[in-house]
Amino acid sequence: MSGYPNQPTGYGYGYGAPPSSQYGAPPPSQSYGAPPSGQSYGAPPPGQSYNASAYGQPSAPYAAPYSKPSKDESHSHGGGGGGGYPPAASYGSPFASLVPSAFPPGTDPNVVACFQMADQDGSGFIDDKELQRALSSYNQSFSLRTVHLLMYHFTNSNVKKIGPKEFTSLFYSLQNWRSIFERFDKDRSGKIDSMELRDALLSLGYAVSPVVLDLLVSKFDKTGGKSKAIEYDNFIECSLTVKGLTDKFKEKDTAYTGSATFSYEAFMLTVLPFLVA
Amino acid sequence: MSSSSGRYRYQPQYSPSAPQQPPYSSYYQTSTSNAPPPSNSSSNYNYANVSSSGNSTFPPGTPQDVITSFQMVDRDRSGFIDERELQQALSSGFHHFNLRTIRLLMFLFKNPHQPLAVGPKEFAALWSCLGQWRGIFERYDKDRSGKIDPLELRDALYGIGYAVPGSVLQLLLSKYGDGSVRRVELGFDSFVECGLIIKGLTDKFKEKDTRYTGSATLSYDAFMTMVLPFLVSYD
Repeated sequence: MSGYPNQPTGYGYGYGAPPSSQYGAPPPSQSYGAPPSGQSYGAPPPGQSYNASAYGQPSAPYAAPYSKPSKDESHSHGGGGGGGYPPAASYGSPFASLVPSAFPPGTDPNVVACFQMADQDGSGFIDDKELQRALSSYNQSFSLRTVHLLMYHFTNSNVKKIGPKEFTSLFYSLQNWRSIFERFDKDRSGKIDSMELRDALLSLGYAVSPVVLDLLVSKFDKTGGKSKAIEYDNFIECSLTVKGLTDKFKEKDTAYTGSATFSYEAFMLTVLPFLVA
Repeated sequence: MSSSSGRYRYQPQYSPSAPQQPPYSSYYQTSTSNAPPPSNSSSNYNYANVSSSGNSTFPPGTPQDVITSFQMVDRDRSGFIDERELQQALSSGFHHFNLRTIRLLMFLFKNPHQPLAVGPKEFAALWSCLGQWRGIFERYDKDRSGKIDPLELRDALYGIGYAVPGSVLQLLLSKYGDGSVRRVELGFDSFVECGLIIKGLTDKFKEKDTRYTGSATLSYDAFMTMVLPFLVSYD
């Protein structure tokens, strides 16, 4: 692992820099959701103005060992509203995603059109199969597992449905992931290898150890480990998994020590959603 | 009952008798007198004992039908079989396994020197592990339906020493049914998948719960390396 920045003193998500200095002192709980996307989207839709101060920030500060998350590039894409992450909003109520939501005024008509196309039964919600079909029409296949992870990510629940609000966030996040993927797929192979994945995760704010990186590549490589590289849809899944697990871990690591205490039940409930998606 | 300090201790030998109802002594480990979970729990994830070299042979005493099953699918006599071949071999010996379970099994039993293929030694270990899971499956499939329902699953896991909280089981089972968890029924392969996940994660957790308090403090890296091996991202 010659290229590993700041040799393995500490992996994780950069506890070195106190979050408050980066975030203008939002409560810690707000900084967890710092999304991979979102940093550049001016004017989030009204529905997502909750803790916009934390969510609107680049996620870069989490990648303490990584000092060049090339903000310029990440800012150059996906212009448009709404990179905010709805999960935070639905923490309060597990049924938040069941409450019909509407597209906020000013939503890009493309997003609305995509939603209506995907909502084949006109229910006002998109279920997992509908979302899979909608995503797969973008010249890209998505497994149901990726779709379920996306839904879990945007609703923070096992409800396999999303409404307009979640869809809008999803739409922009996917644009963002796509551009990150393309940025790090330097040889345009359609796959990113281990080092490229490491850099991509760092740019999202997650510094993982070489052991974890190897595990990720072997788990998300469609060929079962032969090509040692991962494709776009698996990259999304991989990012969601790392982000989800890391964020859950940080919720338990209240003192920013780099370790967290779980009860057995909490541990199982934390990790199983990523295994059974 | 063995020593009280062994409450959480893993007993590597398998005793096929003894599924007596254990006392409700703790949250995940019920009793040491029960048939221990299949396969051993080494400190890494390679459940199989793997020789230091990449090559392996069948351990002495491997039943002939196991060897035959292996040889039947290893058509090029390379000494290793890939996931499709493993699927074929196990499907004739046990039950049809979906590729997802095959990939989980391969990962958990892999030879570090040949991570993409299964050799004789791994195959023998895997086969014997599945035999133990099948014994458990049959014991708890009381109505002989060939399917395990959520209550039978709970009892089966309990019987091998894992008192899994209802919330955890419910989450686990949400993967297998459309909607109602109560009506979920697991075939043998899904049962094995659930069992491997519960047993594997619980054993890893217990290793970290050194003072048997029911909670464990994990570093970020340890946390990630505990969880990721049980993930199968594609099927």
